[in-house]
Amino acid sequence: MKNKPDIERVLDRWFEEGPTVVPDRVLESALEMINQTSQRRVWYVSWRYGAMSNFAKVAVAGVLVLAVGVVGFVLAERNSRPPVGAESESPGASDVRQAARPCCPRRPLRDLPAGVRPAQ
Amino acid sequence: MDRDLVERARHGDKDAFGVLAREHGDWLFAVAQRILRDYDRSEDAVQQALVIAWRELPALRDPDRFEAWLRKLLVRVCYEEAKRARRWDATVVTLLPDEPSRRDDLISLGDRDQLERGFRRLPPEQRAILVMHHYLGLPPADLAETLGIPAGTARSRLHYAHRAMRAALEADARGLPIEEAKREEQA
Repeated sequence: MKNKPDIERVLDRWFEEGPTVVPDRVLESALEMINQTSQRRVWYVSWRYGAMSNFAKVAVAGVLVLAVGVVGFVLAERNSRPPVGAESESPGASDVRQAARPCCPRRPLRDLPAGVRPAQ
Repeated sequence: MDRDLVERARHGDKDAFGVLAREHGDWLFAVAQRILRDYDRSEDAVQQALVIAWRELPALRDPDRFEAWLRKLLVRVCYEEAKRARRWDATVVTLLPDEPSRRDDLISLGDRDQLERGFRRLPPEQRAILVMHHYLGLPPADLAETLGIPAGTARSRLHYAHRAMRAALEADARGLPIEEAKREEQA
């Protein structure tokens, strides 16, 4: 055996021997484990990107760039336009009243303790 | 048929996966057993490979590649099992075939023992490539895919595996340590 030049033929033959049928209990046990195992979630779209031709990949990339450009342009345009009903830059009457109102109620000086009251 | 089952299993159909497991279970076990040369470890390897396959199945992009993908998973699991093994002893357990051999004259019992001992001396990577090539009949391109290595590397690994097997048989016959036999083989 040790000097056989046809080791490959011997291996072919040798590997034919041995068990070829899985015991049922092995599969049963595996399926039981699978019942308690959740599948990994794949969030990406499982399209066959790898199978696409180069031309298709470039075309898809071009369409994506174009779409991003259009969306960006629309958003920029919308932001630069003044809001409806705000043509005038000058504040309205209610804004003026709001600005003139003090931020907190003023306390009369007579209510302050003597040491704190400023000299008049 | 398989494609439909794989698609259904990918979307969480456990019954479909059960059919696939029964369909592929035999060869999974046969391959694991030939690589690991151990019943218990082979059973564990099949179970692990199936559980991993179920868990990772949604990530399989091409359902037609299911069998190749499963083979790859099994080989990885066998490597892990082999690493986990505390020792690769040379105890010979001559495995009985499921069916009586029709060409028993080709390999004698003594030869089988010698092959068993020689094979057990090889690292798992070499065992795997020999089993994939000689038992499953995979060509180098498929070996490369299964083992996750370039085709050229698969060819050279197969070549070295044959050489190592010859060296292992030499070593066994002469009672030499494997490394010494390898050196002689290369000289």
